[in-house]
Order: sequence, then C-alpha cells, then structure tokens
Amino acid sequence: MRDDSTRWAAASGYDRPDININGLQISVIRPWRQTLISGPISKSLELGYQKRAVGWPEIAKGKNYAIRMRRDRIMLINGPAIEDGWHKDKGLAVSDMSDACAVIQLEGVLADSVLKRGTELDIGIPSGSVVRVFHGFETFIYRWQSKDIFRLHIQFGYLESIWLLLQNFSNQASAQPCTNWR
Amino acid sequence: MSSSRLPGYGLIDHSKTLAFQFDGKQFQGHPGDTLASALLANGVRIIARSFKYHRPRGVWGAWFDDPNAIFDVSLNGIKIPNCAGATTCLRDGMRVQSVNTFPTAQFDVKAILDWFSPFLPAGFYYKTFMWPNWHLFEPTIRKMAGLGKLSEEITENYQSDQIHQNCDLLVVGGGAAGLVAASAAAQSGQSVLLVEDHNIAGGGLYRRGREIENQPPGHWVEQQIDAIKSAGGQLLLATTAFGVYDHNLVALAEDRGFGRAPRLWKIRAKRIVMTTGAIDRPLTFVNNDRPGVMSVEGALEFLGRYGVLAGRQIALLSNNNRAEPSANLLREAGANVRVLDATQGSPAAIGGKILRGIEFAAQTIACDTILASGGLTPVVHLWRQAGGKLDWDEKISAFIPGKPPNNMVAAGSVNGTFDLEEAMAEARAAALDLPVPRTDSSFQVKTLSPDRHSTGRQWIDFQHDVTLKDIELAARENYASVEHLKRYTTLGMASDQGKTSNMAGLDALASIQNRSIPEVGTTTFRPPFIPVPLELYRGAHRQQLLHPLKRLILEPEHRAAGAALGEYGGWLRPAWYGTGSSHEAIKQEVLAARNNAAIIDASPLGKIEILGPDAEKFVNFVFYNTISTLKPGHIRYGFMLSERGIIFDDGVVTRIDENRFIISCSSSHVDSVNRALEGWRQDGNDPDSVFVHDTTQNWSTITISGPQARKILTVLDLGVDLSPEAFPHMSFRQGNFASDPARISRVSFTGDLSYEISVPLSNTSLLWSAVISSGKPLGAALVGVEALAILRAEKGYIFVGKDTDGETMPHDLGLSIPRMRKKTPFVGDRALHTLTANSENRRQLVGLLIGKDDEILTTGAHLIENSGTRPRSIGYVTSSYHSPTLGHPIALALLEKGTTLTGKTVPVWNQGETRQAKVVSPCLFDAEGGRLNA
Repeated sequence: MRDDSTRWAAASGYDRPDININGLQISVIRPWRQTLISGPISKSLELGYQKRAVGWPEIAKGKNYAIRMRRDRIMLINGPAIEDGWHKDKGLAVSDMSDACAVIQLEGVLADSVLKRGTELDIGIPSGSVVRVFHGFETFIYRWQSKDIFRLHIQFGYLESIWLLLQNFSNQASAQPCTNWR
Repeated sequence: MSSSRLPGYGLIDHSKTLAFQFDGKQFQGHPGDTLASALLANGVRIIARSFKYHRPRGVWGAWFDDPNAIFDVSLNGIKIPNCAGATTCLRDGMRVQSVNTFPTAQFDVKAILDWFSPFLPAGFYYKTFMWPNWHLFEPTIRKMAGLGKLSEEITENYQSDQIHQNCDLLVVGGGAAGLVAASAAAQSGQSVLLVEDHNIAGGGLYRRGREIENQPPGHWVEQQIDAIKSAGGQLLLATTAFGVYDHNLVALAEDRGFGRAPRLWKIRAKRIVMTTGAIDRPLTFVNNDRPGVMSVEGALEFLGRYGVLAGRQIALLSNNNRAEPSANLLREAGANVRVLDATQGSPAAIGGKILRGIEFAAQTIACDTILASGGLTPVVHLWRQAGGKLDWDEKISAFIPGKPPNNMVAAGSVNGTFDLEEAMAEARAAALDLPVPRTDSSFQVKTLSPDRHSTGRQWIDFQHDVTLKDIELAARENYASVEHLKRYTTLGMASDQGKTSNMAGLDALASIQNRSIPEVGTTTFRPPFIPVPLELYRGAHRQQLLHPLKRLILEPEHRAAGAALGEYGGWLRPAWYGTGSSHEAIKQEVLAARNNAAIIDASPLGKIEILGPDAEKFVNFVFYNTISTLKPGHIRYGFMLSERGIIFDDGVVTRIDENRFIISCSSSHVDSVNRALEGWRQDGNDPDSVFVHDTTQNWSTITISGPQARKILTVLDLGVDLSPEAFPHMSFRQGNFASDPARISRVSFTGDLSYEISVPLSNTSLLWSAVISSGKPLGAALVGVEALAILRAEKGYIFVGKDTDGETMPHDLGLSIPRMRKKTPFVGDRALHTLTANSENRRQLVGLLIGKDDEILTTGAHLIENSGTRPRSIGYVTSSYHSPTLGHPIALALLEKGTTLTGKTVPVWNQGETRQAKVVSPCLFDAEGGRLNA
C-alpha cells in the first residue's frame, strides 16, 4: 500500500486561474444547465426550444443552444429545466448532465493551434457531431460566438488532466502556431 | 588526407567556422555542414566500425542512405546517442564519438574479431550458443553488441510537439519535381504542404550544378518556393515523412535542431504526391566496404551541397551511363577520375584503413577513392507502406511504383524518370490530378550480378556486416524466401532498413537461385523510414498524463482529512485516512465500520441509465440475472457476462420506473460497461426504444454503512421513511437533500446495513459535511478503499477482476439459477452450456482459513495438489487480509472443485514455501444476514 497523495498535485476543481499566453485565454466556464436528450432530433430540439443543434464547424450562438453528438442525441446548454427520465409522449430520453461535464473555453487566434495538438480539427471537413477524441479523451468540441472561440466539454473527473494538457499545449502553440491551411 | 574542402563550392557558409571534436581530436567545419561532410572535409576517412567484425568504415552516402556514420554526440551538456552523421547538422562545440569502438574508430581493439570472421558467419550464434544455455553467453554478447551509449543524465525538456493538420495535397520530397508539383497545386487553389528533409530545398539539383530553366539551381529553387508561398502553399523543411498509415495519414518528423525532440506532424491529406527521388545502389565487389568507397551520387552531393571533394585520385566504377557526366563534374572540381565499366571485370578494393587502389580487369589502378554506382534505386518505401504495388522496370533494373494506393501518385525519379524535364512534367500532372505522362528515360544501366567466384569478402549490408557468402549460406540452408533471408542474416535491418542493402541482397539471392529479382520479390516496407526517437511518439503522454486518473470532486476534503490517496480503477481515491501506520489506520476504520458506521466516498460507482419502452427487455438481455421481474423502487444484484459466459462485471440494477433503470456497475468498469451496453443496444434493438446514458460523473455517491447508518441518515432529513419495513434491503427511494434531488439506495458492499446516497456533484461537498457532522457523534469514521476491501472480503463479496479471472463463470461463484432457469435469452447464455462450462473441474470461489496468529497468505499463491509425480496448481489465492473484525487472517481463492473441498485442508505454495489452509465458505461474517437486513 502506497500513499500517492504527493505524487498528484491537489485538484483545483473549478477554482483555477485562466491560462493567458500571447492573446490566448483558456478558462473554465459554468453553464447553469446541461441536458442530454436522446431520440429523434427534431423532437429533442422542440423539447429544448431550439431550432438547430450545431455540429462541426458550425458556430453556436448565445447563452442557450444545442450541440449534436450523433443522429439521435443532442445536449442542451442552458436549456429549460426538463424532468429526467423517459418522455413517453415524445419518445425521448432525458438526463441532467449539468455536473457531469466541465466546460473549457479557448479564445484567441492560438486556440485552434492548441486544439490541433490533441485532435484533427479542420474546418474543411464538416461533421454533424461535435464528439471528438482529444488526446485520447472523449470530448465535445465546437465553436461558440466566433471562429476563434472554442468550447470543450469533458468529463469532470478529467478536468485536472486536461487542464494540465492544455497548459502544455498552450506553450507549444505559442512557440509554433498552426497555420490554417485552407 | 584525400578528401578536402573546395572554396567556393557548396551551399555552406565558408566565411564562418565551427569547431568540433571527433573521437577526441579537434576539427573545424562550416555552418551548413553535416557531421559527415565536416569529417570528410577534414580528410577523416574512418568514421565508424562495422557492427559485427569491427571493420573500418567510411561514409557511403551524403544523406539518409548512409548506413555507416552513426555517432554519439554531445553539446552543452546534452548527449544524444546514435545520431546519423550524414543528416545531423554540425554545431559549434559538438563532441562527436564513434559508436561501438574502443577507444576510437581509427584504432579499435575489437577489430581483432575480423580475424575470426570465417567462424562467425550468418546465424552462427543461433547454432553456437545453444549449450549449455544461451543465457550464459547473453550478457557478454549484449555487452559487445549495440551501438551508441545512453547518457546517464536526463535531458531536461526533451519533449516532442505533436500537431494534427489537414491539406488537400501533400508533396513528399522537395527536389525539382516536388517543388514543381507543389507550385502547380498551390496555384490551382489546392491547400498544399511540401515536405523536404533537407533544410534547403532542391533535392539533387545541387549535385549536377547545371542551370534549370536558365537559372542557377539556388535561384530556381527560391523562385519555386516564392511561388508556392504566394499561392498559399506551405513548406516544411528539415522534415521527413517517415510513415504512411490508414486513410492517408502521413507522419512527419520535423528536426528542431540538436538536443530538441523532433516535432511530429500528423498530416491527413486528400491526395499525396510522392517525389521522393532515387538513391545510388552499391556495387558488390571484393572489399567494397573499405573506407574511401563511396556512392557516386553521394560524392556529387558532398561536392554540390557541402563543397567537399571526396578524393583526388578517383576510380569511378559504374554500370550506367551517368558515369561520364559524373566524372566530368569531379574533374572540373580538380579530381583525377578514371571511369571503369563495372560489367567488364571483377573489381577488388586494395588497402585496409587506407585505400590504395583497385584491381580491375587484371590491372592494379592506384586511387584514393572508389566511387561506385550499381544503378539508381527509386525510394519507394512510403509508396509500399501505403499499400502501393511495385513493378520491375527491366530497363533501369529497379522496382518502380506500380498500381497506386488510393489518393497517391508518384512523379519524377521515384518513378524511374531521371531526366529533369520529364520528371517535372510528371510532377505538374500529378499535382493537378491529371494522367501522368510517362516517357522513356535516357538512363541506361547494364545488368550486373555479383561475381560469386571472387576470392575475398563482398559486402551486401554494410551496417550489419552481411556478405555475399552469408547470403549463399542462408540459401544453402534453405532460407529461400527473402523474408526468411532477412531474418536469418539481419540483412536490411536497423536504421538502413534496406535503403542500401535491399537491392544488393535481392540481386545476390536472385543470382544464387537462378531467378530474376522480381521473382525473388522484396521484403515488407514498414515505418519509420528514418530512425526517430521514441519521444516523438510520446509527446504529452508523460508523467501525470501518461495514465491520467479521474479526480473526485471531494478530493480537497479527503486531503484535508489526511487521506492517503491511491489509484483504484482509474480514479485517485482515499486509500485510508490518517498519518500514522497504514495498517493500524485501516484496522481502526474496519472496526469503526463494524462497531459504529463507515462514511465512504463511493462516487466512482457507475450510474448508467437505461431508458425507453424496451429498457426492461434490454437490461434483462444484458444481465445474467432475471431483471424483468424487478419492480420499480427495487434493486437486484447481478452479473454482466461476455459472450463467452465469463463474468465481465457485477453490480446492482435499480428500477426507477417502468421505462428507466440505473445500472450501478463497478467503479473501474464504467467506461467499458457503457461501451458494451451501447454496442448491444445497437445490435438487435429498436434504436428508438432504448437509450443508454452514462450519468456517472453527474452524481456523487456517499455510502454510510454500519449499525449506526440509519441514525446518521435520519439526521440528514432526506424526506424518506428509513424504517426497515418501509425501506428494506435492496430497495431504492428518491428523496431530497438541500432542496435538490437525492437518490438513496439501500445496498451493501460491507455486509452491514448500508445506504448509498447520490446527489449531483455540485451538492456533494454539502452532503459530505452533513454526513460527517451527523456521523461523528455516533462514532462513524471516514473509510478508504483498503478498509472497504477487507469489509467486503469478510462477507465474501468479490471484486471482479481480482476474485474472478478470464475463466470465471457465474456458477463458479455459486450463482447458478439463471443459468438453469432463465427462459429469455441473455448475453453469454450459450457459453454457459458448453462442455467447458459444465466441467467438474471448474475453479470455484472459496474462503481459506489459516492459524489465528499466522502471517496472511500471499495473494496469488498457488493452491496445489500433490497426488501426481509433480505438484499441480489447482487454484490460487485471490484476496488475502487480516480481518480486524474476526481477529484472524482470511482469504478468498479460486479452487478446482472448491465447494466439494469445504472443510478439507489444501497446501498453499508460494516461492518455495508450502503452508496449509482450510477450505471454508467465502462468507465469514454474518452469514445469516441479520446485520445486512437490520
């Protein structure tokens, strides 16, 4: 039996300073609600009062929006309160995931270079889904408000590791930005 | 000194000098030099010793095709082993050491091995070191073998950068064809990336020095680069494409300078144009490995790029029509060159450390340098890695790209098109995705096979000391396939990867077997094309990111409470609390749990929701146990099996309502269970009628277990009737905590009255404080995973993967009813009725007891049977602890026919020691369940 508590830096949780390098800002943001809905997309959007769910490389707008994971699954960000469980009338499965996913926002021209350290991200290759494997972690990545602001949803348990990774990548991206080849 | 620097020649900066050491001697070079060019310019001929015989070796090629120049290099406290001398740029102050030599390459005491070469043919060690035992010889052989030496110092900040990029067109090779292709593609609007491994583009243009499109090569190259960049194209210099993988993924290694780990570019290209060129092919003749024997193209490259004349008295031995033009270039540079037609005699190099001349066609010709060319070999490695076919071109005696892999096209020299204009025409067409025009090359080569009757050794693979006689021996011993030949002789292995040795080896084998080269075929081409450090692949996968752990929301509270943290199933969890002896802390936690109450952070427990009208049918199918009869508000323990009937996970299923279940699987199996469930959902189910939501990380779970558990919960005011009648064991209630939902499950993993309270992560801290506040006055203790492991073992509860293995089926643990009676199909059903499943010799879960004061049994110790001539393992200890509750050691084990051996004694063997243990029921605590159901 070994005490490894000193081998792992204490977890900071949500309470952590932003990363700021050469105009790049990385911060943890706290949407007040994240709701996972599975079932026909049109009905999911209707339930969340949304017109569309963004994929890649679409840009989500505003405080309330929906992102799409697959042909039958979306996540409402800051959507209305919806009861968990099976919604028989609409054929939808609903689960509150507000605390399950930590959300990290990357802003600035280097944001793209940071993300490209961990995943393929090409605006010329669209996808209906925002799900991406980022350095081995399953994440949702999409653009928000503008082409230089990205949001990354991750499992909360991996926040410490992914933050460490982003610090590492930020330094690398600052030294070697990626050019947009399109 | 035969080789020398020529003022005014090459691309190097003659105005500045760089000092460096080689094997302890001081030399000077210039910016733009490689280690090999700088040594050659200083007249250093012996730069290495061969791997096996320690023969003196010189530089063969000027770039990646040089197999000999391998050095350990130190600079500014950083030492990098095994640097390729022909591709490592010279820096001021470098200390360069030859590898596998003692004390120097010039004088190496191990050269004595060459005297014994008749006794050391290919495969000698396979045959020789069999008796009495290979391991007797292994340490000495390993000590003698190997190349560079690793530095004992850690190189700080040696970390590769890794970038993903996409482009329309990737052009590999920045020679004339590559530049033209990239320029044409960029101007047509494609996003283009041109990759060139030199830090100055132009490929072989500088060798011949002739004008191209009426401009000097340097100007023309600059013009092309400007055209590429102004059209939006990108150029990566000092970057080598070393691997092609599925779906047009090309891996590039960018050299970031000495002492810095290269950058890995993962390029996904829609199309790839290969303009990788061709390299000179060695000729096989007697003593062709002597220092001073060099490739013709290498010598021209040293002249054109680095301003180094390879020799003054040169014998140029060739079988092709490039010999005279090459000789003229060298003559213009001041060399005296005699061209010899290699097809007209059996040459032999004369000399040892110093080349004296060449015997050829009954003449002895004095020379200080032999330049050899057996034709040109197109660099088809990446083409083959991508799955492209090869065609044999008889006219140039070489394999060239044949049927292409998807989205890849070859142009220029790699196609066997060695004429500049035609190569550029091919490249333009390839870039624009037009049919590539093919023309007859002016290059002519005469067929030439090695003279097998010559006396003296003829080298096939310089790097591994493979000679023609080794090939003959392998063929005699029926290693007739080229793949077998490679492995038997080590031909084409290591960093050379067949670049220089492959064609010579094929030629030799074909000649020996009276077959043609295409009949012999080639070996498999695999990445990496050039040696790359492992760090390139590692990147950010280091330290805490090598195996990242999930972190608990309560970690700050655990640390504040003095928790010792450890990894459990991918989570960093409290192992025990307190700073004293871990054994004592764990013991006190167990006793507190049994006497009062345990407070456990059980947040990693799975919380996977199954929703939809088909949820019941689905959960009933994926679980071994019958779930369809489970009523809302109730919980059932069960197993998930693999299709082979093996226990994949255990956990409890809670039915929330008609259409909703929560599967609480093992903490460490959440991701795999979620994947398995999603896989089964998509296989044979109406996808609109059942959904899987993994909500594990949305909820934290705090377990309160022990005789005082109910009292603690009462204080929390969860809005639930906690009486045993209203809330019995294995039932579920939804309550509230701090006005948010709280899920309360009455389940137990300790054998005592237990409740698991789950709240959203954001409420966890509050709940934790409240539980501690209400629990402390009642003697409750914070309990870590180590104490929990003991508590569950006392009760005979299992950890899947610890107390089960890859053969354990549910009936081995005593749960056989569903196997016999469950009517509906379930995963693993069929496998539970096979001969294997019904074997009488299955290993079953049992408990083991030893003396009260004995040391605990070792986990993994074998349970043995001594009935035969040799002891036989009939099982092993899976868990073993000292039980503070029972006051004696306890253990769980998987034992052959275990249940039939209850009450008997079995020998337990571990590392030569045998002890006796009594087989008992796994459950040693509260077998009647009175405390569980309290």
